[in-house]
Amino acid sequence: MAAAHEVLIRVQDVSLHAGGRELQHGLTFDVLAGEVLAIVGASGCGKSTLLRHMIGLQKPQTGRVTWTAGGKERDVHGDDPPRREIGVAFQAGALWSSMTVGENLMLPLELYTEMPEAQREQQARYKLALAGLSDPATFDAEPAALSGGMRKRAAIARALVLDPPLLCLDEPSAGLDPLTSARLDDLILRLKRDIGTGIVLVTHELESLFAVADRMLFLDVEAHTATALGPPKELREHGPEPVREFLTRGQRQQEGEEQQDKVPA
Amino acid sequence: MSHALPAPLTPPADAGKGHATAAHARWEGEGQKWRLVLSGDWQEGQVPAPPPGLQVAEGTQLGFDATALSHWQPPLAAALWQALAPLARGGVTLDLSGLPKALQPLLELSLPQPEAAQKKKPQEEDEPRPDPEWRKTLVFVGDMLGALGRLARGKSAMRLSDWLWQIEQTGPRSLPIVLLVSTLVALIVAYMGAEQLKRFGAQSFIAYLVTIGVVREISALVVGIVLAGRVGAAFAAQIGSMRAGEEIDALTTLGVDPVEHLVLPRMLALAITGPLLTLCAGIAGLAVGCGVAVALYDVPALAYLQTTRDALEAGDLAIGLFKGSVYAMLVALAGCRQGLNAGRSAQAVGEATTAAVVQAIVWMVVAASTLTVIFQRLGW
Repeated sequence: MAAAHEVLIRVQDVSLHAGGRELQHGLTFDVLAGEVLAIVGASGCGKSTLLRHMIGLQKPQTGRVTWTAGGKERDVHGDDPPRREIGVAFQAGALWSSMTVGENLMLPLELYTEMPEAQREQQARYKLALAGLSDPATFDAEPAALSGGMRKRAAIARALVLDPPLLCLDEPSAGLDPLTSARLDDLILRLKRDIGTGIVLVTHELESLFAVADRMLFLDVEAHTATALGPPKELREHGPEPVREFLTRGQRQQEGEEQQDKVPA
Repeated sequence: MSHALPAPLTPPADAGKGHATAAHARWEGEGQKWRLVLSGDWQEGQVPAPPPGLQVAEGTQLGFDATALSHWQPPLAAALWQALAPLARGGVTLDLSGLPKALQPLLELSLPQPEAAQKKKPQEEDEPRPDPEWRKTLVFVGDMLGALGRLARGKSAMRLSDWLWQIEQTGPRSLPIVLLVSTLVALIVAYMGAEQLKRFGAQSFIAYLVTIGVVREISALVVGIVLAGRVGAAFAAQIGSMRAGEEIDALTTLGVDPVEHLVLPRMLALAITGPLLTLCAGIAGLAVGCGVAVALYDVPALAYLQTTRDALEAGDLAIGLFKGSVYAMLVALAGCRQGLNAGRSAQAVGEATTAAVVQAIVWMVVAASTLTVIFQRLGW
């Protein structure tokens, strides 16, 4: 596991494009071991696209993304990308539909470890339980038989299965019930605190953001670049105007919805 | 919905005559101060484009005069928005207070905000030109060959269970429909051929016609077309929806080559089932040919079988099986390539499926004619 506060991944002057249009430019930041960095911004600002660049799925037109942990710099888009070191949970889960949930978790172990099958199964069952899926039947279920929330948790379990130093989660709590969402926040905090995992989180949920994120990167949809990087609570009070508005108005709206929910029918 | 306005300062000249005045909009002003004057009963119509004298730049001010506007309908908001949005984006200051009160918030919400308009505009770039189809196909074939090479060296991510599952899906499950189609096509060939031969009293030659036709050409083509519809479409839909559901991205982030994991088992499954299905289709075709000759054209069964044995050469059989394998490969190639290059929406998956079937059939017909010409030239 990487040493505390060691830089895991370094994003340098990266620009994001979609459909011939520049979404963001000049993005420069580091992700440290043992921190939760949230990528925040309005819809269409390029949050998920940035994540795809960080995990090597898309190559930036300018700038570079480098894996720096372990004393050796490795280009995420180069010949020796840090595959094993980055666990990814996609927005829709992206469990492989031709395999059972258990096989989904065991494939990364089969590819990257020498574990015997019994141990692989044990690991997979343990990681499912860690993500809140302790029912033994889930292990043998087809992904299509699971609910949306269960698929999402199974995807997080799969991202965790190799104990990667960096975990990338694309909107993990979207579509989950509040209880599961809170459990997920707990899981993120424990992974960070107890294991020292670095976590990059793309999120819209402000409650979750304030609960778990150490720092947030705000992608401004109008300015087409990151206009703030820092602790969310600090940015809510002293950040630039669009960030304060995003964080305070969004939170008021969420609180308003909660108040409405409390009104008896 | 109609919004009555406070009594206009200057009532329209024909007010009270029982019919509405025509809607009208005109631009007035010069230099940096302009106004848009609206009048009449605005049911529909367009706001004319700003005059060339109105400079679309910061510093230009535009006000509104709607005192002569008696009534208006919602289309006015859209007409104004269309004329004003380019001005607001260009930095022109709009003072909406001269407009009817109900119209102001609608335009405030829809028009670009002044501070947003002043911020740096995203750099519009030419959309990168997508690779042409032939190039995508060549790249895909290259990837396939690379994956085959890694398989030969024992370094492939292909799972044996996936391969066996694909063999089951493409082989035994395709057999009934292949048998049905090949028997019916062989029946047509035997019947039509026999009718012509009967004129010369040469029914006993039906066996030659059916054997060579079915074994060399028809069974392979039938297998190819059935596989294109049944298997090629399924490949494109499966792989396309995996792509839409980010499953292929999940494989890539783990360092698994999607071609090895998804395409190779499908391709190798069809490499096995293609020739086997062709063999089954050939046997079924020969049996039907025999049935037609014996039952309808009084050819003795033993004589038919003897002629068939004489007509059937190992070369014909090999060519038939070779063609069956080639067509099956083309089906796998078209299906997997379309699936891997599909877009990320449900509609794109549907389009990829259609394209896979069409492409497989076109490639097959081209391959069939090319191979026939080559084999004829070689005298095989």
